[in-house]
Amino acid sequence: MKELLDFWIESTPNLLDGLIVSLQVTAVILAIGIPFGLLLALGVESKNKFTKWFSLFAVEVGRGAPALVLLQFAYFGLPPVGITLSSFSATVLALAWNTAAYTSEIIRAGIDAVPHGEKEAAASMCFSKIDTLRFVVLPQGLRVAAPALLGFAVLMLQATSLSFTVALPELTSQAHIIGSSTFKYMAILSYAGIMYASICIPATILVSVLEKQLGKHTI
Amino acid sequence: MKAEIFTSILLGIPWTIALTLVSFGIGAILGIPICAMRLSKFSALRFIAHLYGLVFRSIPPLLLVFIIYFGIGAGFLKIGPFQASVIGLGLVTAANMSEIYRGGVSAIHNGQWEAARALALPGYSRYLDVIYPQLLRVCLPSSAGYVIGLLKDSAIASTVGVADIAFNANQMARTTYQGLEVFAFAGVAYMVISIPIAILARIADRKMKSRIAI
Amino acid sequence: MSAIADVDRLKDRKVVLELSGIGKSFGDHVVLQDVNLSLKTGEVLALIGPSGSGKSTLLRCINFLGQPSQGTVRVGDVIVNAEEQINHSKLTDLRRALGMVFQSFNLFPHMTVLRNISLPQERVLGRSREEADRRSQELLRRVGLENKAHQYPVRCSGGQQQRIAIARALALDPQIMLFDEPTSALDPELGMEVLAVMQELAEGGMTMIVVTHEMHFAETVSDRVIIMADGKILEQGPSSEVMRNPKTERAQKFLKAVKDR
Repeated sequence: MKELLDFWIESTPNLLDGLIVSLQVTAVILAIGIPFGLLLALGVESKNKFTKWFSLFAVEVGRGAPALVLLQFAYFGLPPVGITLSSFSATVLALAWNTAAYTSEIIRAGIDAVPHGEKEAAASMCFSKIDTLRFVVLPQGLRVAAPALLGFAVLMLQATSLSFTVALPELTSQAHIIGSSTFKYMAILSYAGIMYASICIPATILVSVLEKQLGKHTI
Repeated sequence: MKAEIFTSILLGIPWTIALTLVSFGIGAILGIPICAMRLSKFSALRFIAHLYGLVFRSIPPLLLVFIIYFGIGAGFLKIGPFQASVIGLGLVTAANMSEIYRGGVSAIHNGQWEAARALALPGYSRYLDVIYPQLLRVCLPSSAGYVIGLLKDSAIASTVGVADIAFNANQMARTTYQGLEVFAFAGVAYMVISIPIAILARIADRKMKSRIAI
Repeated sequence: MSAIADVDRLKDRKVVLELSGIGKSFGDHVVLQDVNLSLKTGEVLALIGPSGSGKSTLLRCINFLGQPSQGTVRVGDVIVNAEEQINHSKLTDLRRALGMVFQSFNLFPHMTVLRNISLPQERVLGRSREEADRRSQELLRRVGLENKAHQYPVRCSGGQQQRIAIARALALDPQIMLFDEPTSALDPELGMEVLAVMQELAEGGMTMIVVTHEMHFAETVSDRVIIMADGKILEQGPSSEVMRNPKTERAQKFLKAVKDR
């Protein structure tokens, strides 16, 4: 037992470095992906044919292809056509696309949840479309979507473990490196698991609390 | 060249499907007792089930598969890549399915339980004849959605050597330097496979709807 | 009260609303057929009839919330033809002149009552925040709810919410107020509060069209009553006449059913 703890303590700095990379890349992915998700949510309902079809394409591919394939596409598939991305950039590109696609559906559901009558009231009072979005639809729609978006953020943190395959020095990658040199795979991988869980479990609990809170205030 | 890529992707499909089906099978079945525990009157059982759900939805599936394959599999037990993948994915699926089942149970109208009790239906009949058929119908859309997600998650098996679509795509990309086409093809393959699942789910849903109106 | 029932008071008023040939169909299903209607300034019109008669649909065609399939709507100097390409700014001009009150109130739940009334003034009429808030307080006083200004709609009863909705519509200084079954979602007591406000509005000279099931209101507060059935106008005339002596059999059946409840 003492051996295990010593091993864990020894490996902590490296794993923490990895965890920080995981968190950083997740933050960047969400910061880029969610706003694009909002744009796509509006884009798929657009009357402009080009916008609509482009948005539909982005959503269906972003959701339909496995995140791993999108990642490898960004890292291994682009260099042959001249675009070489670092592992960080490739991860951000692929997973932000993935995020935008999934969150566009979450946000759309939130927007749909706003009662139709309110949009009518705004129209009958000559609110411009943008004002209706800004003051009536989005404040309520995003609030409804918030728990689901947070839940997705938790999943995205886990998804960054896939960038192990494109040499990003995140948590899983660090754990695997230590494992392959010490052969104490079980010990180090479970430690990494504990680190992920220590963030994701509280976050998941927070999501359920948020969902219940939201339910209380429904009109 | 294109033909090579095409064939290698095709060869990966059976493995991808096998991974998805076996993982889902394990998870859908394991999810039932976990859901039952979650709804039990014994707080200890409820706690264990709740903990299971939290833990297996908070660890990246990839890490879990690594733990099983490199951790457990390299030691006392000999676990092959396919087994490790389906066990890992199965455990995660069970956590998610138990939540889907739980949602389904709460969606069944209170009146159903009351009617069953008022009619003095024996316990097993209550579940078998009244609740279970409705549960199936209610859980079908979410389950179908989950299977499609699982289909894509199955790609992680490629990292431990299972010769599925993602694995073959990776091999092809390295040897042919036509990464763009290869991965685009692979992506399309996954999307195409998910279509029949969505259609089957819709047909099954309609069939059940016509027999059971909720 | 007697001034309301005196139809001659409207003799020299201008026609402020004209509907010509309004028709609406959903595919093969015809909901409105060739409806013609005109309204004078200060006139209060009640639209009654059985469910499915098209009265709500007709009301919503006036401000183009529901797009008519045929016909023209004229409000003041603004004319909109349903069969032509709808000019967006003309539609805005049309809607500015019309205020609408809905059966389900449709207040914005995430804003205070005051903000519900002030925001449209700021965004649509360009009023400053102080000006808008002043006007909002005035209107709230008028409907008897000035103490609710900083509450959220969810804390108000249905009757209060509807009165706030009326204040919100009035805040944009419309020429005509349209009411779509304003009391149908309210129990009788709360409905009375709302009807009282509407009566005051009418007595103050507002031009109003009210789609309603409140027969007492139709008879005593409105100047004219239109009975609709099957997408067409069945009968119209001064309220006391139409309500007491309906001429067509269908209208007689409808009014009898309503009175005998």
